[in-house]
Amino acid sequence: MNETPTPDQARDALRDVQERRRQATEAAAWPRWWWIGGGAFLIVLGVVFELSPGFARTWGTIIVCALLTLAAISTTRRGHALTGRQVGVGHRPAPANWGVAILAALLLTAVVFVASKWNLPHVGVIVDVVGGVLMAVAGPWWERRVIERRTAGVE
Amino acid sequence: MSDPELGPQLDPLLTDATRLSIAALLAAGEWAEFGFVRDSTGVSDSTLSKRVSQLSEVGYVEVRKGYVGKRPRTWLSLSAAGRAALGAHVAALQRIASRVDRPAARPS
Repeated sequence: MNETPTPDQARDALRDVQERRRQATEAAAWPRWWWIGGGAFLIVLGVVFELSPGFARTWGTIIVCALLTLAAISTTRRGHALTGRQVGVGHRPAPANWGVAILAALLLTAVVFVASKWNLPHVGVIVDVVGGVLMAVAGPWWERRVIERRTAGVE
Repeated sequence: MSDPELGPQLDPLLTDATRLSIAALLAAGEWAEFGFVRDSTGVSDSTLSKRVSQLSEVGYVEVRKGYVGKRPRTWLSLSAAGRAALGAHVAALQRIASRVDRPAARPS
């Protein structure tokens, strides 16, 4: 039996491979409303911390630890299932990503240092509002870009 | 999978459209839920199970079972061998498909 496909059949098969890749990329991403909700939460948190420094001192560390724990759980298979994501992508960052992460951390540290030195008002809430808006607007785009890079290889 | 002169060869197991779709879906991520692969390929549970068994027999696909709450779940992943086979198969398909694009060489 000759199983060699014709060029047209090969093209159809390649189109199917691309379509399956697109489907899997869609399924691996967080639903958009999670990004919007996360951004809104960050903004509300920044405003609450600004208006009530006592609340920030009491609950700030606990809230940050809870968010980090939730973020860690969300990367597991069960976490994916609970958040409606049916495909998991690897979490091994490329060496280049480490450089970007370190640069971003240094930049953030420098901003916080300068802000504390100059005693700039409302820095916390400004950072949270900008971060929240970025998360809601650019989060889905950034995530898709990261997933597509990680899943690249089978063209 | 690869011939030094002809280049990558088609994998007989992946010439089946459903098996190729399964492999392509799994290649895009680290793992995928059985239900997602079934819905995406549009086949029944039993058909998918059979195809997955064929792929796992040759070591292309790994199956892991577990629970989320009280609901049983099955996760599928493409092994390194499966990824290599799919990569070679896709390269062979590209070579075949390019025959249409390439204009016929003029006799000199």
